Amino acid sequence: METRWKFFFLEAIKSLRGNFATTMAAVVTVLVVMFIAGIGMALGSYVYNYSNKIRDDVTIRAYLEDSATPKQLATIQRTITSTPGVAPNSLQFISKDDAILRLKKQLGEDSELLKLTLGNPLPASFEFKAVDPDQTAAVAKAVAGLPGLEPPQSGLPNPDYGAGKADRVLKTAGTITIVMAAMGVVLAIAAVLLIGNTIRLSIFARRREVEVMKLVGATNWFVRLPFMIEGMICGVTGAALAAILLAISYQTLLADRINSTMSGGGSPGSLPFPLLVVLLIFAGLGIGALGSGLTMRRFLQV
Amino acid sequence: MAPSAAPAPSVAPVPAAQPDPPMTRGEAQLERESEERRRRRAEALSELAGETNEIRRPFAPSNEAMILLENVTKVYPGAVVGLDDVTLQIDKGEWVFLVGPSGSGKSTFIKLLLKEIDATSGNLQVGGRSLRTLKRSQVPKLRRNIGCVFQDFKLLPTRSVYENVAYALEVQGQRRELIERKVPEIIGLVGLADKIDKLPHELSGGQQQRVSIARAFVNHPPLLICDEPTGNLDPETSIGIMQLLYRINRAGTTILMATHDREMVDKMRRRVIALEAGRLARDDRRGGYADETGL
Ligand SMILES: Nc1ncnc2c1ncn2[C@@H]1O[C@H](COP(=O)(O)OP(=O)(O)O)[C@@H](O)[C@H]1O
Ligand SMILES: [Mg+2]
Repeated sequence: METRWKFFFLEAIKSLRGNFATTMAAVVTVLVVMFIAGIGMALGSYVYNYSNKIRDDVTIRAYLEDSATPKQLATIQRTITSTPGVAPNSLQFISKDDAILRLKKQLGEDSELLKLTLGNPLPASFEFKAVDPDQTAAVAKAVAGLPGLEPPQSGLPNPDYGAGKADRVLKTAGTITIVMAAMGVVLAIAAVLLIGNTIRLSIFARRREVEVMKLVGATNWFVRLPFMIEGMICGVTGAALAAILLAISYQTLLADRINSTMSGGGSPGSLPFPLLVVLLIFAGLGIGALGSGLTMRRFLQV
Repeated sequence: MAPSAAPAPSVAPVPAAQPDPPMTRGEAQLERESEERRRRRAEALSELAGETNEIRRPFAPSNEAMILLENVTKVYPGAVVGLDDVTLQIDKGEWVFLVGPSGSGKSTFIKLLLKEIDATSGNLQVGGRSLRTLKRSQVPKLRRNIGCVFQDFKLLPTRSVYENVAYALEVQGQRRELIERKVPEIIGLVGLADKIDKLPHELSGGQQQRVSIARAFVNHPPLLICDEPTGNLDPETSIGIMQLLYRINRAGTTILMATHDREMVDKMRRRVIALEAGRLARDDRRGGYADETGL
């Protein structure tokens, strides 16, 4: 039994080497698909965790116009404290300086993002909480529209709170996910076709051998297995290379930036890298098997 | 290409009794052929003929059908008739020549037996099994019970003699000990023990055909089908191949051989089935290559 598997693998590798260029095209396409899928999955799970995290933050923030007068500020503060359901003592005033200091703390003094900004673009704000977290939306509504508050824009309500933010993040992420998934599907189809093409060439190159196999009574699966393995090797190689590339990207680009920019903790709780690799490898196997399977249905009737 | 006296051997009904016809193949070489060699070849041939004749067993050694055709017709796409309403029976242990001009349906017959193609109509049985109802998944099993020898040998060029023969057993999932025992044995039987590690291109045509016979016979199939096995070989080499096949037949294997080798058919005097344009034209118990009755 062991010798037969060796036989199948050697056959597969021999013919992969035989048409190196097409094999490379297939492998690289799988690599691109898997890389995109990897980024997508990592980003997706990150965003999901991130949105859950901000949803848990029940702090309501009312952002103030830079031009708001002290009188307006006083009115706003009074309205907040007198609104039923607002937790007493939860009210806090965050000045523009406080805001920028906070951001610096999050990103670190050397943050590229901060070096790029001129002056202080952050608004001052009142922060407060509802006694009952479920009342957050209702309490926030009571303050809305007061003079001196920044006018709300579409997608950017004022006052703002975690659940709303979380929903917006998820909505944006959803759009990005759809775009990436569409790209992924198109590329996955391309990968299947390219692997199919590689297999077609190997079937052609080994038609003599296949003829002899059938002649001496090889079963269907025996004739097909080397080609199946060949396709799967293409798929797995592409996926493994993508995993390596993803690991490098995580290390250098993403880990650094995402973790700091989005207030830390991207990795904990999100999809663990080894699991991601396993998923990619299986997807690669699937793409390879599909590519060779479809081709053999057409070109390898036993 | 047929080694025969007539320029178009498959069509011309030349009388069979030409003692030692000159050959069309390798003419330059044959011109140089000495009388001595001619004589030796004639001797070998009559020896083979004598050998086959001295066994006075019944023509149907058993009455069980190995191959049974009932009104079998094969029409290819485009209304090309390959086989036309053929009914015949070949018994276990028989030796049968299948003759007829090119395009008369010999290869079609053979492909039908291997279920490479399916009959358009009629009933076809091999070893008692109907091929019409045989499932796709059962086809490999059918082929393992039929040895095949072809004009072009169909050897794998990058594999040694040993590997080519072992291949048939590997493909069937045989155990390694069995392969290591059986393969050298059969290679010895076909007389190539000293060539076991050679590649096909290092062998002569006759030797390559012996390898393909070894591969076809390594399983000891009850039926051996040959499609012009000596078509690419010179007459001397052909005799050797026929002797080998004859020994295999004597051991009980049914042999069906499509051939253009007039000399061989006439000398061996076995059953001859002649096809013409897909129809069964003649079925003689001890026939010659050409129809001798109508002349
Ligand atoms: N695959 C095919 N498709 C169409 N016609 C075919 C095919 N194979 C054989 N034929 C036709 O069937 C007839 C019989 O051919 P074949 O069995 O090969 O004859 P033979 O082997 O006696 O020379 C011929 O007319 C040939 O052209
Ligand atoms: Mg033919």
